[in-house]
Amino acid sequence: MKLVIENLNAGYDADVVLQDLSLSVEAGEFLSLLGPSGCGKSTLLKTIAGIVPAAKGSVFLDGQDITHLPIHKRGTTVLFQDIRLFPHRSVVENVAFPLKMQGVPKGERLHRAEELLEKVQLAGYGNRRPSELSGGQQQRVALARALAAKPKLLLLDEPFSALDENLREDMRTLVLQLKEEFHMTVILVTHDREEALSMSDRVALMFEGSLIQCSTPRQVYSHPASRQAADYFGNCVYIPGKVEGGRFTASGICFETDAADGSYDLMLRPGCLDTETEGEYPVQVERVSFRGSDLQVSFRASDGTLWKKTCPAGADWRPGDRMKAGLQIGEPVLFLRNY
Amino acid sequence: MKRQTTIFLLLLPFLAVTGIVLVSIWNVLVQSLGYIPAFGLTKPTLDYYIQVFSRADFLSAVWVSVRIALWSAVFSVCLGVLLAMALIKCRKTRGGMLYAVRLPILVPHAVVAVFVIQILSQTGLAARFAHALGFLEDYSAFPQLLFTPSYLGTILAYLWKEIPFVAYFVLAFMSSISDTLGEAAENLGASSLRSFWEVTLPLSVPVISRAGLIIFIFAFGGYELPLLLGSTLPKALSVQTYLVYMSPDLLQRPLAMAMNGVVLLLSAGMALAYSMVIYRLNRKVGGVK
Ligand SMILES: Nc1ncnc2c1ncn2[C@@H]1O[C@H](COP(=O)(O)OP(=O)(O)OP(=O)(O)O)[C@@H](O)[C@H]1O
Ligand SMILES: [Mg+2]
Repeated sequence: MKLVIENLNAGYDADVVLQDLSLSVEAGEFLSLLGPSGCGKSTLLKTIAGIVPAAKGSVFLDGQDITHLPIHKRGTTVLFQDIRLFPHRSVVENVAFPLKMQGVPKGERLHRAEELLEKVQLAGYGNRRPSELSGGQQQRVALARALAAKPKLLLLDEPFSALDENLREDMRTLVLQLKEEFHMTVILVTHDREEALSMSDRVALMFEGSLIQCSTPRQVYSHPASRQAADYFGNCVYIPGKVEGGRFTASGICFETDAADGSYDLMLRPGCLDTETEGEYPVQVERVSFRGSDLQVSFRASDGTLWKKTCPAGADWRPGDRMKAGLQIGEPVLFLRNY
Repeated sequence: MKRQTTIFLLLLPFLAVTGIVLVSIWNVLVQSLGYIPAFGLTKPTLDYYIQVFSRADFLSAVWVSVRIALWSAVFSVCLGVLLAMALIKCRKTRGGMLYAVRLPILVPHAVVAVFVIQILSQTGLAARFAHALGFLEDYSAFPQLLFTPSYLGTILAYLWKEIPFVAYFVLAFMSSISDTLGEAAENLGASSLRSFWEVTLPLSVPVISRAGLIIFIFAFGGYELPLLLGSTLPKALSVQTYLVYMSPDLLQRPLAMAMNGVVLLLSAGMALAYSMVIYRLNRKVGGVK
C-alpha cells in the first residue's frame, strides 16, 4: 500500500504539532521514523490512522484520499506506544479482537490468535488477563493483536522498547518476516538508531513536527542533510576549515570541493579515523572502555577534536599512547559555518 | 503523637457528621422496636414491624417508591450514558457545554417540581403550545401526566435532574476509556458504535452502576418530588412515613420508626448487593477500578 502525505498539519486543540509535513512511502516499504522525544512521531502515526484529525493537508493510501475516512475503515493499524490492551478480555481474546470485528467465526479466530501468540513466543499465556503479564509480554501481545488485523499499513510506535536485546532481535525478525508474508507496508517509530538503520529501507528524521531528511540508512548516516541530522546519530566530529577557490583546507587536511568560498565544518564519523595505517593526523589515546564484544577508545587529536572509535576487543590500546593516524575522508560532508 | 492529633482534628468534621447519622439510625432502630420511655413504652417488641407489613397503605407505598426509584434509575442511567457518549463523540468534555449539563444538577428538587408543573400540567406550557399549534382541541385533551398514581410526573422530574447527573458522573471515566481503549478498538476495525459496545461500555459498568445506585437509593427515599407531583393515593414511602410520624397520636411513633427501619434496611441491603456485584466485576475485569 503506497502512502502519500501532502502538507499535513495536525495537532491537539490549539497547538499544532505537525507542520506542513509531506512524506511518501512505497508499497511494501519499511520506513523508520526517528526523532527526539516530543517531536510528533506518535502524532504522525495517529494522524495517518485517523485518530488525530488532520487540520490541513491530505493523506492518500493507494491513491485513495483517506484524510476524512473514519478510523476503522482505513486499514491502518497502530501499535500504540502505551500498549492499550483490553483489560476485560483475556490475552487470546485481545489478539482475536480484530478478527471478531472482521466477522471471523469464534473457533477460527481463537485458533488464529493462538497461532499468533505462538509467533510472539507467548504460547500458553492465552487465558491470562493482560494485567497478569509483564510489560514486555504485554508489548508482544499488542504486536500479535496488531498483526491479527492484517493491516495494509502497519504503524509501530516503539513496539520493542520494553524487550531485552535477545527478544527484541526475535521480534524484529518476526515483524520483517510477517511484513513479507502479509505484504504490509510498515512505519516503525523507534529511539534505537541502530534498529532504524539496520531494519529499514528508508529512514525519516523528524524534528519539531517536520521531516528534515528521508532517505536510505546509508545516506542518512553518511550524508546528513543538516548538522541537526548529523548530531542525531551522534559521534560525529567536526573539523573547522575554509573553502577557497574550490579547495577545503584545515590542519593537515586538504581536498577539492565544489562548495562556495567560506568557513565550513567538515563532518566526519569515527570510522574515518584510520588507526591501522600511519598518516598525518596526530592523536593520543585518552580513554579505553571495554564493552564486551569491542572496545571504545577515545582519541584526542592535537587540534582538540575528540574521536570515539570502536575497536576490536583484542586491540592493545592504553591511555597516553600516541600515534599519527590516517584520515579516510571518503565523500566529505561540509556544513557552512554561520556563527 | 502530634501527627495523630492532627489526623484526628482533620477527621473531626467527618466524625461529627457520621456520629450524628449513626445516632439517628440508632434512635430509629430503637424506637422502631417500641422503646420510647418518654411515651411510657419500655418493652422491646417486633410488633410494629409485623404491623407495618400487614398495612396495605405501607405495602403499596413501598411498591410506589420502588417503581419510582427503578424507572428513574434505569432511564436516567440509559439516557445519561447516551448523553455522555454524545458529549465525548463531539469532543465537548470540557468547557461551556459541560456547564449547561451541570445546571440541572444544581437546581433544588422543589424548584424542579415547580418547573414540571408549569410545563407539564394540563394548563402548562406544553399544553398551551400544543393548543396554539393546533394539535389540541382543548387543554383538557392534554394527557394527565402529573398527580397520577403512575407517578409519571415525579419520574419525569427525577429524569430532568438525574440524566445530567449520570452524564456528569460517568463523563470523565468514560471519556478516558474511550480516548484510549475505545480508540484502540476502532483502530483494530471496530466501528465507533461497536467500540462503545465492546469496550467503553463494559469497562464503564462499575461507574455507571454506581451512578444508578445513588439515584435509586435517593429516589427511593426522596420526599419532595413524590409529595409535590404525585397522587394522593397511593403515597410514596417517605410521604407515608412522614404522615404517620407527624400523626397527633404519639403512639403511632414506633410504627413510623419501623417504616423508617424498613427503608434503612432496604437501602443497606441494596448497597451491600451492589458492592458485592462490583467486587465480582472488578475481579473479572482484572484490576480496573
Ligand atoms: N493528547 C494530547 N493532547 C495534547 N498534546 C499532546 C497530546 N499528545 C501529545 N501531545 C503533545 O504533542 C507533541 C508531540 O507528541 P508525540 O506524542 O507525537 O511525541 P513523540 O515524538 O511520539 O515523542 P516520544 O518519542 O516521547 O513518544 C508533544 O509536545 C506533546 O506534548
Ligand atoms: Mg511517541
